[in-house]
Amino acid sequence: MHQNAKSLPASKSQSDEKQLIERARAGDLDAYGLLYDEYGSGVYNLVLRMLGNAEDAEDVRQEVFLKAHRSLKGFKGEARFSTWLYRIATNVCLDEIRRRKPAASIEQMGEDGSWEPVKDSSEGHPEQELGRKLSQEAVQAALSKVAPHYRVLIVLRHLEDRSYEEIAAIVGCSVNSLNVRLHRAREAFRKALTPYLSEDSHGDLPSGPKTYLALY
Amino acid sequence: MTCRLVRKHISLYIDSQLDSRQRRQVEEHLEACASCRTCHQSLQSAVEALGCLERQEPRAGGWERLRYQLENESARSQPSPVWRLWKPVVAGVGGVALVAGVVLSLLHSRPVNMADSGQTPPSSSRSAVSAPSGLAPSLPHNQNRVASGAEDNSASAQDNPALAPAVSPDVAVKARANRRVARSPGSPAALRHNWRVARHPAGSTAYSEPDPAFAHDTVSEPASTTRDIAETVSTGMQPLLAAAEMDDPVSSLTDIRSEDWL
Repeated sequence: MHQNAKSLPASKSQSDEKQLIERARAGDLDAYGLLYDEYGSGVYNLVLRMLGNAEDAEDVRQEVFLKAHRSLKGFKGEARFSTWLYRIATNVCLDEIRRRKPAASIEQMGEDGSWEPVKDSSEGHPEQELGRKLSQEAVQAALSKVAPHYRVLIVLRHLEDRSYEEIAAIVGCSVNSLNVRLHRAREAFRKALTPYLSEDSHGDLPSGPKTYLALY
Repeated sequence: MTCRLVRKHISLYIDSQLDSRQRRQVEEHLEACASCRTCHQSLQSAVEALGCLERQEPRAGGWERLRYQLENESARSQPSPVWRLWKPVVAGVGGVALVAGVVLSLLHSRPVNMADSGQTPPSSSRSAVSAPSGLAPSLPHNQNRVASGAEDNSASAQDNPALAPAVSPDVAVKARANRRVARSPGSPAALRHNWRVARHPAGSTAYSEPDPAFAHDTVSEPASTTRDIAETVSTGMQPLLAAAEMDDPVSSLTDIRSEDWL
């Protein structure tokens, strides 16, 4: 589905990465630069899809790596470095989104913390949307309307191609809990996407075969 | 497999997270149930729509900017060579100043404390106490307490009414004068005075209450001196602590940990 920068090149093993981390922890910025080269792109794309803005994504990526460098001494190697780094990135993104206070999301947490999905007006008639095509902007806009704590699951799973176990470690929940949350996240995204189907049917479509997707 | 169960597993089915048996059961149900099939198709389509989001490459120069920031942070966290030379000197001077401050505050608070606490000063105030001739000869052990202040007078007087007329007016005046001095702003006695007033808004009535612990106390010289020292030490820190609570920038220096000086 996507090119993925999550894994190290074949020439670099886990021990190589550990050595890089040790050197970076000792203050070797060149070693940290290699880690940045390895994970910078993945972190950027995670942040980009979470925030939906390239300029902000660049700034937040820098903040993520700054925080990671400051916290490097606390990294004990119990989790993979990428998991640890993505956890920092996720938290920074959620903080940033919280600070911005978005006007509305597709679903809101109830006062008692329960999940309250927004009613879908077109629910039950998906066949009406058959043949509609979506642009990249529309999908990103729909993604941005999903509540951040669900959005991050979609991005990690479908855009960063992370395993269930790793996503569970990043967001700090069990795999069983992740199953439920991920289903809700996809459902929320599907509902968020529905309004864009009719808009895109009138044009404004990007070029390239991959972006011409029939939703239903 | 029921519709409810299928919809519960539909996400795992899309993600190929079900084992072969469960997968086959779901597929059989989807073939038979149009409603569940629609549900599956719409969710599957939404997931596939995410495929149009292509990976983006960040703009070049990100590492150079980050490295610059990291080097700046590192430079800020390291002390300058000049500071490294002066650090022991500053730490020494700071330490001496701190000790001197504590000692001075103790010395300053010692006479004030005795004037207010009703204890016998070692020499001078004791002679001042014994000088008045109007004291009742039948109460020699209360002499020390008479001179210490009007509140103690009244306390003893209430405890033993025979003592009340024995206090000469000039002793009371001296005691009041001592109290005024002792209640200069910031002194421990002043702090205690304010505290007492706050506890007993009625004012002088607070002072007229007898203190049973003192009323029948036969004060001997060594015991009195020991209590003086103990109370002086304990109350000597009060101005510092009280000032620190008021966010006094100077006194808050006492809160700085020793490692911060090094």
